[in-house]
Amino acid sequence: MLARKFKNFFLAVILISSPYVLPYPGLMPGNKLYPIKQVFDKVMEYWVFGSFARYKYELALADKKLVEAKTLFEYQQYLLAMKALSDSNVHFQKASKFLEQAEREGKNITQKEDIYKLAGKKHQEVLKNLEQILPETFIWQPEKKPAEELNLKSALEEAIRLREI
Amino acid sequence: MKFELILLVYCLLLIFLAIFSYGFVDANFPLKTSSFLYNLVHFHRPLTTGIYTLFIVSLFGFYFYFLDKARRQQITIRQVKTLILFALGVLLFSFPAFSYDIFNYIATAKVTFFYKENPYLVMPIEFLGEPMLKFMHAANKYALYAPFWILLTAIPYFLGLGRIVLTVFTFKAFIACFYLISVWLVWRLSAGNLYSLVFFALNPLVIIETLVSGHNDVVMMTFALIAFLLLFQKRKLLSLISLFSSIGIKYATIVLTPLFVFSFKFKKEKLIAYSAWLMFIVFLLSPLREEIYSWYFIWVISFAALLPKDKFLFWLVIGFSLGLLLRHIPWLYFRNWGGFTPKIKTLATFIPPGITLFGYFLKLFSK
Repeated sequence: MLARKFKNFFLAVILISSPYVLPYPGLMPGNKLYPIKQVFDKVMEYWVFGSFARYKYELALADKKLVEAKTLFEYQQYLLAMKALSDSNVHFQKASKFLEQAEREGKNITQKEDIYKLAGKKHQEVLKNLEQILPETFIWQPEKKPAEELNLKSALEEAIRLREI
Repeated sequence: MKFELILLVYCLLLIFLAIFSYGFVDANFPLKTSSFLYNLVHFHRPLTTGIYTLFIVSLFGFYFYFLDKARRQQITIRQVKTLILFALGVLLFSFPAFSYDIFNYIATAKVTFFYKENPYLVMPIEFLGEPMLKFMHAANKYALYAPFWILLTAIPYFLGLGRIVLTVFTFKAFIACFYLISVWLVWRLSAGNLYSLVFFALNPLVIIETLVSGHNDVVMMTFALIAFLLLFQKRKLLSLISLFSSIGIKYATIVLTPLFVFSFKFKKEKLIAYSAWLMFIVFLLSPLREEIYSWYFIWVISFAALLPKDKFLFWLVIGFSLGLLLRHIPWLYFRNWGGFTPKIKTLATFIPPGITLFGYFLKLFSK
């Protein structure tokens, strides 16, 4: 019991500062080589088998897409940023599903669960920082298409909510 | 009568080596070993080092004796077969004393076939509570070997019925089968040359690293030798498939691919000689990846055995076979990989071939 309390306290201390490191995003949307990267990620899906491997793969993609989204938001590429954020959400949820699958298979997921929580906390940190600097909504006006209202605030809130574990 | 006596002494030596190997059983390995052997190996390191050196020197003594007998044609194929089968039969039951690689093979197989995870993406250490973590030495590594090897390990893994001690021996038996096939291939490719057979099959490095430690290099070389046999039989497609199978074990034989593509340009002897030297270059380059491991030299011995007239290669192989087995000595003595160990290992590796080649050139120029 005492050990469990100590563990929770220790975890809480870690979560406050969130030492989880997000990756360098590599090629960004808009780059001519970006579609090749996307094809590579898709092909990798077939190579990545096993619940642990898929969990790690999905979490890595969730991280990468989040960094992509952050960079794009900062450069006011809101449409692309929203797409990257939505992808990050999907991968983050998939990571959780593979973690659950691993648990059903009888694998000890304690360590991976802790990492998942740390990742969620770090993602929230990034998203909350973005909330501070971004407008609530933005009217996206493409050249040959009708204007589109992007609800940035609600998208960020939704992403934060998904990461509250 | 005399041969029977030699055989008896040789077998006794191998039996003592097999018994000695049980001193190296890890304290956490679920196999109870003799406390006498355990204490000898773990707490009397100078004595252990001495015993190991004595084994190596004795095995080389016998090796030279058998080689000399084969050269003079004073030994029969039946006698050589008996020696090979005795060595295999005895050392199959030895403990993988001088390397932990066999446990890596088993762990990789377990990650793949038991946990159903991709071993190139998930490390054994990620499975908390996995019993093998107690005694494994490289649990924090992804699969090091090529996919065909991992696929093949399904056979000994499932035959092990999930019991680690049994699995160690099913893996050893599996590798021993490939040793036998490679021995047969050397015999076939050398057109029944007894000297070539003895040169490969009874080489102390081949015996210790294959039959005691259970390294998979002999599996890679078996497929490479099959590829050569098929190539010489003009069955090129099958030959290439076999070469790719060899590459699919441990990658190193990829350097032989150009030789296969341009095989029509070379005579059989040249092709084998170039293969031996290419594998020797890859062996020398292995520190670029990690370090020179003694079992890597099996890549060279497999081809060198087919070139019995090449005296330079003979002395090179003898020197390196001895030097590489002596590489285990600093670890046996110091029980750590730091400090003087790397330097002594390098000296132990290169001094013996330096001496044998010096002797070779001295003899060559004194003629």
